[in-house]
Amino acid sequence: MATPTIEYVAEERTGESRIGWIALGALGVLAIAMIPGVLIYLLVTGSGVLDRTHLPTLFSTEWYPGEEIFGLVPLVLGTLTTSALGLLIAVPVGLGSVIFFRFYSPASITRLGESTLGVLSGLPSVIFGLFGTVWMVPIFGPSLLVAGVVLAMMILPTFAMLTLAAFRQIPKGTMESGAALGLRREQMIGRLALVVTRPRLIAAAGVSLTRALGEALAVEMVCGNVAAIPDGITAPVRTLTTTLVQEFEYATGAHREALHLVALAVVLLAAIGATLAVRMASKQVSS
Amino acid sequence: MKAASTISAILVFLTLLLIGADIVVEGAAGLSIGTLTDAVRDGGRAGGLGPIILSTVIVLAGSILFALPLALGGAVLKTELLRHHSRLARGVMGAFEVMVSVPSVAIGLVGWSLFSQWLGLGFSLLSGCLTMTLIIVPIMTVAFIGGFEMVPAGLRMNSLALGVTRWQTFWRQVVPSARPALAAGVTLAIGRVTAETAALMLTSGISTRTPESLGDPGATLAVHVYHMARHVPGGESMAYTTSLALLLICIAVHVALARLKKESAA
Amino acid sequence: MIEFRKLTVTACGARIIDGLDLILPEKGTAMILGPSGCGKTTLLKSLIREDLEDPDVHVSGSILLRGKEIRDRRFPVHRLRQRVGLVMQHPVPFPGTAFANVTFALRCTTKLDRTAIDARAKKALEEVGLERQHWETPAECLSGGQLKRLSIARTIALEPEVILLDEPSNGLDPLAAARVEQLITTLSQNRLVVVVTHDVSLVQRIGDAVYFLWPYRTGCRLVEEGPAQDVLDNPKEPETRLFVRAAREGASALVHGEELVAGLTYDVPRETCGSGGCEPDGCEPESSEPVRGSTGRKMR
Repeated sequence: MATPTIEYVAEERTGESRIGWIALGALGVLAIAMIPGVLIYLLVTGSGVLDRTHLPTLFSTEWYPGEEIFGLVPLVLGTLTTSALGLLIAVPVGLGSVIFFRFYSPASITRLGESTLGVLSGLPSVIFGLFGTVWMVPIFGPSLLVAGVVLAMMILPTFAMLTLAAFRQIPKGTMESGAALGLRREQMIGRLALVVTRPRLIAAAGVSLTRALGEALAVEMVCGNVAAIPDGITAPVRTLTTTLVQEFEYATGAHREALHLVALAVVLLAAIGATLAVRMASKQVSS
Repeated sequence: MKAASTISAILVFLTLLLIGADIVVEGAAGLSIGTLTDAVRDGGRAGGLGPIILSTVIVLAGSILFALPLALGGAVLKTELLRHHSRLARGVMGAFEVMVSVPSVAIGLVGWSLFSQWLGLGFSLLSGCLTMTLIIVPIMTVAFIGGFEMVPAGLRMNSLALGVTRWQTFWRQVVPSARPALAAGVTLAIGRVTAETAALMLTSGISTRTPESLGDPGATLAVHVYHMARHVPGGESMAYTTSLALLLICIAVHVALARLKKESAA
Repeated sequence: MIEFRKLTVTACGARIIDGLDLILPEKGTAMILGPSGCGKTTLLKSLIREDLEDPDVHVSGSILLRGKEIRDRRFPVHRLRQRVGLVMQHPVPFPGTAFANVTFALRCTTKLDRTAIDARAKKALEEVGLERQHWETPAECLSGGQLKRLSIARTIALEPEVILLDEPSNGLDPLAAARVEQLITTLSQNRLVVVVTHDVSLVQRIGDAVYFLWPYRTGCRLVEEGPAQDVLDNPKEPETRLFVRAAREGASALVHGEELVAGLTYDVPRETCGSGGCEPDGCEPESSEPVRGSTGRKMR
């Protein structure tokens, strides 16, 4: 057995594939470059509108492409108000329901609740938009209110699931110590659980905010699409995203370029929201 | 506290109940086996969803086909090619995680502007596929990276010590070992494509005709719901029927994901 | 057969092996003996060029296999690993049956056809004494001793010229350990079998030649070498004496050793197992939890 009797491939063909690794690496680099490429494309194409004639209009309160006035203010306001309303509704209700599932309800109902949230979180947003169109718009008219509610319905499941996961990961010892100190249930929740999970709750809210900021068609179905500053909660609004969806097909020239800036604005807002959430969450950790 | 949280929980259940009941009641009337295959009639107000489903399947298949090699490349880049734990590797991971949350409507606009207009594809399934690829690559890559890193630590070295090359080790040990996570990544991507509306409306369009090639436009299920509800007078019932079909698919995907998660944890 | 010249291995800035000179014979059992300090496993791993897989590890010096420098760029690495087979301390089973585990490397790296591969796998499994009824069992379900034997079978199926065993009886019950010992004796009749161990009685029973290493703060060095019986019965160096005594007498060796210790120039063996990104070799995690263990390297 001293001399090997097997013919090895290794001498002629090693089975190692340098080309293979290079190809995969190239694909990987391409994969990383895609989204930055998207952003650069938006910036480059949209920059046409950053000239002397159009630039000041970006800050006006009128979006009037016919006259080449591209005021982003009403759009940004619409985006922010609808998303804020959505968060305002979704966070308390979501948090409340999760508190119920985690601390008050029997295990079977908790499981039911989890499945409910799971299914809801997978639903395409259009379904919520459909619901809003049929049931809420006839009552309140296409408005900021309905858009906010639709967004809330959309982001609540994901927010709730993230929050539930956060509550699940509270170290057992924390809650046990609270009970040992004689705290009432409400105090344990308010002073212990909520405090301990606050960073993750903020992060969850941030994720939900990002989703809400980026939602287009569900909002479009119910918001009324008037590019003006809303004068009440039942007034129609328009967001950055609905503008894109409504005007993309026939836009030309400066209008078309302006739409690229609108898209960029959406990305920026989402990025700011996400960064803020991360920043706030980590601040909680250190304090 | 208890009262408030109970009310909240009830609201959650109520929401699902209302929406679910609404869809089932309004949509079941139009749903039958024929719905899945029949052609669309009367501008979408009647008939089946055959062409819509076909479009959905094509966009699904196409985007996943394009995204798979890219996601694989991204994951390989991070886990096999870059120095482990180096700042570059962590940066790559972070980049992909961030890209997951880019609003899809913005990507849709780029898809319209770049693929449909500049490349001349117009409203087409191909444009939709390419656009969805942009959206799902980060999702799949993050899942793939997780899968490759969960492979038992000594597996690679044990294989290499036997003279098996890194390429062979990767394809014959690492990839099979990471299979549940890879499947989960693909399932997540399927869910994403199924649920996407804005980006596809901007690129593959709202056409209800049976597409005959990748260059033809075609509405997917989610886009069709929007189109029927918003642009077609009297189209609400069809929107509901489509929503029901969509709901059933979403439940199926959800169940599949849950099962895959159990498998990879085992 | 194998010669190390001025071998120095550093990982993550810590020097593990310091200028080692060592020659291993053509046949028989060469026992690398010494306390835990991770240098012994590093030695084995350097022999199969593990430094190519882990960019944190730097090797300098010479390693010659039958006179040829294996650290030379042109030396085919995969061929090296087939000629010099390392059986690791904590073997990881490949997914699949025990039989598939053994045929895996053969399928990947040789041109043999299915029947020939199966025949060699059969022979290897019989040689290590893995019962036939376990051949189709999923490898993950095997016991510790069976897994050890399977990993040896995986390696000898490739018919290597040299077999490296890293603490082969560690963690096995006496019966299983005895079977492994028997296997080593058989295998060493025709080829070189290098065994890393800290078990002095094992060296006593099956060792032909022994190489005693000691982990100094500046790295591992060869302290003493020679035929096993001679070194164990008449250790010349104080470190060797202390070690052999501790194995034979237990705690009382330390009492005598206090004086020795005081006068020696070595330091207490240090922990080289860092956490986080840099895992110097030999220090494999105790638990079988999946650890981030990718061996990435830059493309050449």
